Amino acid sequence: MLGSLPPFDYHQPSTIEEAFDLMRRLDGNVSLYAGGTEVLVALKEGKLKPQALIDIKRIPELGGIQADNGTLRLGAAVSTRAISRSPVVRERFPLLSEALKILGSMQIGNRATLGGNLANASPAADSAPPLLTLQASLRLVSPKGERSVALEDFFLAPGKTVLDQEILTEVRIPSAPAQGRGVFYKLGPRGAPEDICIVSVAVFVTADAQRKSWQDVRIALGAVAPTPVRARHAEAALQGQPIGDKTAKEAARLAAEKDANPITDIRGSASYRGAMVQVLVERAVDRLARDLRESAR
Amino acid sequence: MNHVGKIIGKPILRKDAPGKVAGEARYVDDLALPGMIYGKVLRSPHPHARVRSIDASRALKHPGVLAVLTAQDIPGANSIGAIIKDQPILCGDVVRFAGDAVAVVAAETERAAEEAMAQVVVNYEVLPAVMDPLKAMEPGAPSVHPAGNIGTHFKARRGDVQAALRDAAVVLERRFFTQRIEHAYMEPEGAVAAVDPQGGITIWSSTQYPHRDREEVSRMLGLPQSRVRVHQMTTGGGFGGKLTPHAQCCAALIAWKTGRPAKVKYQRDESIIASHKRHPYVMDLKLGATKEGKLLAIEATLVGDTGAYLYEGRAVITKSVTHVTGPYYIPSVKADGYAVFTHTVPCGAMRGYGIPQIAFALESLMDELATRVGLDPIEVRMRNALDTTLPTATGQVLHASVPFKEMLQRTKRAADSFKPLLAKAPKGKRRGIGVGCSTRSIGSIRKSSRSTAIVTLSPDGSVTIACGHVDLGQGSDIMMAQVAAEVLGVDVDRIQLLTNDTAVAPDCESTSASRVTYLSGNAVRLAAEKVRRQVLELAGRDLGCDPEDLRLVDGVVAYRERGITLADLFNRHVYHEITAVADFMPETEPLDPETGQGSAAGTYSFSTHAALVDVDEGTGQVQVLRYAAVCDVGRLINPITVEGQVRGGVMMGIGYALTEEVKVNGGVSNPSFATYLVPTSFDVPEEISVEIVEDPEPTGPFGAKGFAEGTLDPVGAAVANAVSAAIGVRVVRLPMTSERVHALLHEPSS
Ligand SMILES: Cc1cc2nc3c(=O)[nH]c(=O)nc-3n(C[C@H](O)[C@H](O)[C@H](O)COP(=O)(O)OP(=O)(O)OC[C@H]3O[C@@H](n4cnc5c(N)ncnc54)[C@H](O)[C@@H]3O)c2cc1C
Repeated sequence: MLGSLPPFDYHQPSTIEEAFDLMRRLDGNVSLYAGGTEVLVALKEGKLKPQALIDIKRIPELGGIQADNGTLRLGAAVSTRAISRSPVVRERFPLLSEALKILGSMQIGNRATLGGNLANASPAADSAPPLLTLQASLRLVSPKGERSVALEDFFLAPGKTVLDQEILTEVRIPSAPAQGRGVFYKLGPRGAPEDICIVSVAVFVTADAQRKSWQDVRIALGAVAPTPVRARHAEAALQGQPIGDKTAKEAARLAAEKDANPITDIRGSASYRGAMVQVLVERAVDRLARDLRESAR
Repeated sequence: MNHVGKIIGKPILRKDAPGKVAGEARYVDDLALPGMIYGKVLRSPHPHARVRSIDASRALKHPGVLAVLTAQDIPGANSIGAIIKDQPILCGDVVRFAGDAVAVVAAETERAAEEAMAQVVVNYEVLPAVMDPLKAMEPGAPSVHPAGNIGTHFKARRGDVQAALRDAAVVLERRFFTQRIEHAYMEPEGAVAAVDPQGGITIWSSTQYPHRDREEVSRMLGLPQSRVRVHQMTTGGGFGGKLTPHAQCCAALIAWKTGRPAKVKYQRDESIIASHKRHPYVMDLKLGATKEGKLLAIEATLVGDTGAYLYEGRAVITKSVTHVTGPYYIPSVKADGYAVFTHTVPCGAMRGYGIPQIAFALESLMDELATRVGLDPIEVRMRNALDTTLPTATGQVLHASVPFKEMLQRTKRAADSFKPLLAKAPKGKRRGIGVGCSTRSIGSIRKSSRSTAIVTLSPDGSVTIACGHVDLGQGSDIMMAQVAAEVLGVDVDRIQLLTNDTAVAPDCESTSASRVTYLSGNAVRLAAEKVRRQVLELAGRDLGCDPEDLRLVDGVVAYRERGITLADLFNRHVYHEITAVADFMPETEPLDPETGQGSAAGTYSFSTHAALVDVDEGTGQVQVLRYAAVCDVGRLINPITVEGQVRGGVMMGIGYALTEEVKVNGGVSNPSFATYLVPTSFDVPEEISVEIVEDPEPTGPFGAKGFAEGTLDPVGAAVANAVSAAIGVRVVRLPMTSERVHALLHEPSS
């Protein structure tokens, strides 16, 4: 029941080296601070007690949205709303744009960063399912060097990632198949988008040239496992199958039964979450089938 | 009265509105006095425990800490409560819910107080707790209070219910459940207190009843009430939650003990954990009717979980029992209401005060009755509607202002306008229409209500009104100004309200129970009329004419073409100003303790609502698409404030219907707006239509009566009936979360 933020030191490095220097000097007793929409809440609730916050928003490498030779690079400290509204993102990855549009309210979206959403490692992080289906990878930098980690390998557990004294600098999305299309569904407890979801689902697909069968199928689920996950069983069930209702139903059933592993918490029971995975996956696949049919006309 | 209708009924903007919109209004937390210190309340983590010892030695050494106060430091009475004073301000021996206060820590800064609070060591002996009201009623259950767990049993008896049910062609029976609700006002509780050099104390308070704050602080400190002065600051909502001044008492205790001005404010989580809630109910209802749908009898057992303390529970359960027949005439009545103690957060007043619960249950059965006898839901209600000849559940016949049948007709038109939309439900959605109706007595239920106003006319024609009913944002100030302006022929801008200071405003009881317009509107009207009469009599003497022929307009008494200014008139008669006091108390008759029969209130207000909803077949999500509220205000005084009340009440009711629920698992487990889900702008229906029916109440000011809680009362019922119609399964539990509705769709027996 804290009314005010505890005292902390605040640093705003302008280079990544400076940031690492601070991290070393303060001996890990720091929190990286991007939009602060997670960090400030945790500080207030006493769940986080760092001596210092290191604001990483001024570090140039963490900014910007760049499209070069097919790969889209999203700076980790760019706000989710800026990404959602970016013309190149809207054109090339409407799935991501749509998902980030409903990450929190407008006020949250203006502060929240993509890097913060991923590094925070909530199973319900809204950017994760679409980025999983887009096969994003992350650039992690440390004083010793840098590495690239597939998003799928990034999350370890709720609140835990592979980050090890590293800073996530950018999210890279490889060029998606030209005919690919995706859907993101987020089920919240009321009409407002700022709620942490009960279940979320992203589906990204391509169809064959005749638009008769599913080719490349990628499905990811949020809030139904310790981390955001790919639904491999469901994907396999759809892969190569004719586009039609029956397969969608079967894939959705597998997503719920084999891929999801939900828990009961204040937002919903495990069984409801399971049922919702089925409903949302089926809806998403149906919707993509309908879109394909309609765009064929 | 020759100005009637000039100001009454006009959409005049409230004076507080621009400042609130611009962020200029000053709330308690904006107040800082020189040398002010801060208090934090240490609360029990256990639902039931004995306090063996409290060791504050370490906390007292914390830098900036001035005092750690416990029950032993309270000089006077250590008890508090809106009606029944059964909650300790600081628990000395036993804590009865997780959130009960055991100590207050005072320090130079808020942070120091918080840090020191963590260092107070309370040694608790954890005791067995009872968390469920039905279990609490069983023999052998852990006792919350020595006298047993049944805090109140209130009865209504009329006719032979058993015989009537035996003979009824249709008997319907069901158990219904409602949830705990948080007020969720924008501004949590808070107060500043300062001792004055004469040995009194002054409180600045977020409150809906400054005089109650005064009473409680005076009892706690053992001071005469006259030495305690309470200023109500701009108050960011109350809804019944700011009737028990716990933060005020804590601030006063610190100020008294340390000699320093002190501020205590609750954080949001603290407000949700410790402030009282709307009672959750378990309701068993049995309804008997003829095959034509005429109601014959009702049998009801209502169990309200009042939590750890009874302070308002007895009155809330009384309200439910006295309104068990709703807006209908039911010849035979047997109703038993129990307010039951559990080791949970106390429940008390919350907009609706026992009506939303009973309305949900009764209106659900009314819809079932309609289905059983093959009638339209509106028609079955019409056949049983109260009018000016039929008695309420307490045997009171309302001789005027019972526009219920006309309201039903209007609601039928609204519901009919929804019907063409039924067929247009998108794929995967089920659409339904529901109606919900209710009535409520205006004012306190277990006793009479009185309001007093002092109206002063100055020689420049401006007017001061002192009246203890405070404005919490609902707009009562502009109502009183309009009433006085109408009588005294002045512009509302020339009227100043003094409601928020116990030193000048008379005690009118709390701003609650939808009472302020009816009671204080009347008191202001009566006092203003006295002033007017006196002025006209003086002028009549001077002008040599009958006072009846005079007009009072803009500070001038006019007779044909002649006139005399108030300044001249007052001067001539050596008046510096003219003041009159009046009070108003409607005629009531106490309720018989064995039968519940009596005349509960001077007037009743009715509500008839209709909702159009979509239910998502896959997810169970409910969306209210259209909403129509028909409201009964007697007579409109200010259409803007009335409409504001309706829209706010409907949205609050939609929260009750769909998403809001205070969950208790030991203590409150969702004390934040991320988990306690009030509706947001995304949940507002595409259309909320507001229709006002004017059927003047002869005893009300210009025919007006209270109605504000009525805007919420039947919303849960209307939405539940719409959902039940959409899915073909009867909803018996609020809130209708997606998960619950999903379960009803897929396993209807659950
Ligand atoms: C009212 C409200 C509504 C919300 N609604 C949603 C919602 O609908 N959907 C949703 O997904 N989330 C929601 N959130 C959560 C939150 O806003 C998002 O997770 C947001 O993206 C976090 O980003 P940030 O920049 O604010 O993170 P911060 O709070 O700054 O940081 C979060 C964590 O990530 C670490 N971190 C940040 N950047 C980096 C980096 N570059 N490298 C390494 N570590 C880093 C920080 O140290 C910290 O541990 C909501 C939050 C609030 C308060």
